[in-house]
Amino acid sequence: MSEPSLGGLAFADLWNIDFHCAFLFEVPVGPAEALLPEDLEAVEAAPGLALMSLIHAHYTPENRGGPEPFDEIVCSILVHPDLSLDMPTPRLTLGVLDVWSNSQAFVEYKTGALGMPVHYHPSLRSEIAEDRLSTKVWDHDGPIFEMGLGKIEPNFHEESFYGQYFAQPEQDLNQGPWRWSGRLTEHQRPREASSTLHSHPFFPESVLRGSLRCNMQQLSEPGATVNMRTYAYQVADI
Amino acid sequence: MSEETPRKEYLDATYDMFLGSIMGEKSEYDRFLEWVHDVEDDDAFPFETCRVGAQRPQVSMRRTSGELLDVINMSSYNYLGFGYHPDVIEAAKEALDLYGLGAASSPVHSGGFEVHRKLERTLVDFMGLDGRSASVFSSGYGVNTGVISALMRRRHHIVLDRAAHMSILEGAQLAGSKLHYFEHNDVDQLREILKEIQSKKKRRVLVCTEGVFSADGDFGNLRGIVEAAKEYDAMTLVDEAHSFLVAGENGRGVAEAHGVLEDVDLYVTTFSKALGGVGGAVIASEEMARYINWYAKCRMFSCAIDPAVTAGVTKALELGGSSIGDERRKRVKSNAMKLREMLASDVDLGVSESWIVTVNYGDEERTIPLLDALQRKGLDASVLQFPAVPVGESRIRLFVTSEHTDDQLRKAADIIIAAANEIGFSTRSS
Repeated sequence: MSEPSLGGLAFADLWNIDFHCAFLFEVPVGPAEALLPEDLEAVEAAPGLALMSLIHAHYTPENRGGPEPFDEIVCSILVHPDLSLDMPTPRLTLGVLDVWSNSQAFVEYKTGALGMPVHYHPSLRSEIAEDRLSTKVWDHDGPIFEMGLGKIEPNFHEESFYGQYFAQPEQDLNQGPWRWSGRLTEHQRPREASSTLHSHPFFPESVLRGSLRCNMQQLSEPGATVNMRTYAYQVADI
Repeated sequence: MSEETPRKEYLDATYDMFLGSIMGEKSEYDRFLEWVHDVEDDDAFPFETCRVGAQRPQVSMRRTSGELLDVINMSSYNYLGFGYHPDVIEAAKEALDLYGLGAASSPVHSGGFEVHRKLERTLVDFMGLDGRSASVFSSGYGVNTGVISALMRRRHHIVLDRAAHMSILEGAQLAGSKLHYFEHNDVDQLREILKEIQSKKKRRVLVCTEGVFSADGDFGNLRGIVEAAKEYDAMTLVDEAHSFLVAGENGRGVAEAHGVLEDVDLYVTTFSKALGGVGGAVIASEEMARYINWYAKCRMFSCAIDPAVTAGVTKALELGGSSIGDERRKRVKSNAMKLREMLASDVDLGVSESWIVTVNYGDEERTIPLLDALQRKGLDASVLQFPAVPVGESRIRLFVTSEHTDDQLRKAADIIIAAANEIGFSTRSS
């Protein structure tokens, strides 16, 4: 039986992710907004500060990626949602800047299914720590980022929330809803978090010049699978 | 002014000249104070006076020099005299005894009192609008800055009447939205702007205007403006600060008089004008008002309006909705008309058509000697000059109330005419 639609958009895929790490970093609002399509507006978490979301997802092979496990990294700016979509209030709305993956099949599928700028980078590699509380990602250009809980004691619990994304791979501004469910730990204790973003072509230079203080961390529970539901996308009417 | 009198340098200065310095030194403070002292040294400083008693039609006031003057009071907004009505004072005293001096907390947290709920209900009942709620603020200015910045964002559009109040402009600037201006009351230009906005992208649009514009004393063209906004699916904010309780058959403002009350999305009023207190409110749909309660930052992060004033304002509103209100509404309009008739053949009355009677005196350099002379002759009025109005269009504003007597109106008119003859802006002499 097909899953219900969300925001009037048909259910498309259920993604099973065996490692999911999503951090938010504070970046200057001016440069962040300059990276976004004209119609989007960055969420200003504090005066002058926007939030950059950085996600590392590690997928098992059944996720349209081919025979091997593969990685996806996503860089976004948090933006205001489109509340005209008939769906629960989104917790996060991503203004997607760039998506990289080392699975060509995944890139081809996701570009078409979600209307996102997904790019194939075969040299993308990751190393998830044995305790699965931190990750390193790099490619042939060098290290991209390291993100981890650091000294923070995890508190894993069941969680489910809704979100939206906007992406402009070419002319059209596309939008779609998503739903995340799984077990995670989450905190907002940035001084104790462990994260390093490297100067790398994956990141827009302008945002790396900011303070880049880690604002929030979400990390999936080791051994548990995250379910990410995505839906058909549409051209945003804004 | 006589040619023999040595020219005072301070007459050439205007308020905007002391707005600030881009450099690190802070000489604007010193320069401003030097200007004030120069005027005070001439015993001519007519601003920052203190009332010795309530804002009645006749008051005693003390100037900064310490001098006490008895004047006819046409410089306060107490249009219906409710600020000193015995029932209003009694209600405020009872609330003071019951609740103490202040609310001591944000209205969203623990600063809400039963008097606040009563005022909200009384406001909505008075307006006779189903499905609406009131969000009460401790400052009328804060209503506009808080409401506009709560509802509008950077990608939205705000369209303002050029003559809109500073609080509306600051709210719009705070929201960071794209700002558009139409010439005062120009509905055709407003339509052009809305058409242009609509031709691009679907965006939230807010049109802001007023019931009575306090600088000119004229009415907002609410029928045309609200209809145009609806036509282009834009929201409307109408500030009825100077018209609430006075304009319209039932005192519901110019929006009532123009038959568009139910079409106004955000109806703003203050409590410091016809209600004689302090604070303000927006009346909006129940959903919007509840949202504004939380998201208007200057409300959320300010102490709630104090309970004694709240109770007094509520009583004033009850009086305003009774036969007393009907009588006083008629009287304030009649008084304004009488004063205009007394002045019309001697001075330029501008475009004023409300209970704010304006008298144009032109040059800014006349401001200080004029207000000084008016006060000494026994009239306190409000003066506006550049940058509040264009250069060369300085004016006296006379805030007429229902409680001014015919004798006071006559005396006020005689004082204005005498000053116009002495200072040189009488239309008879030109």
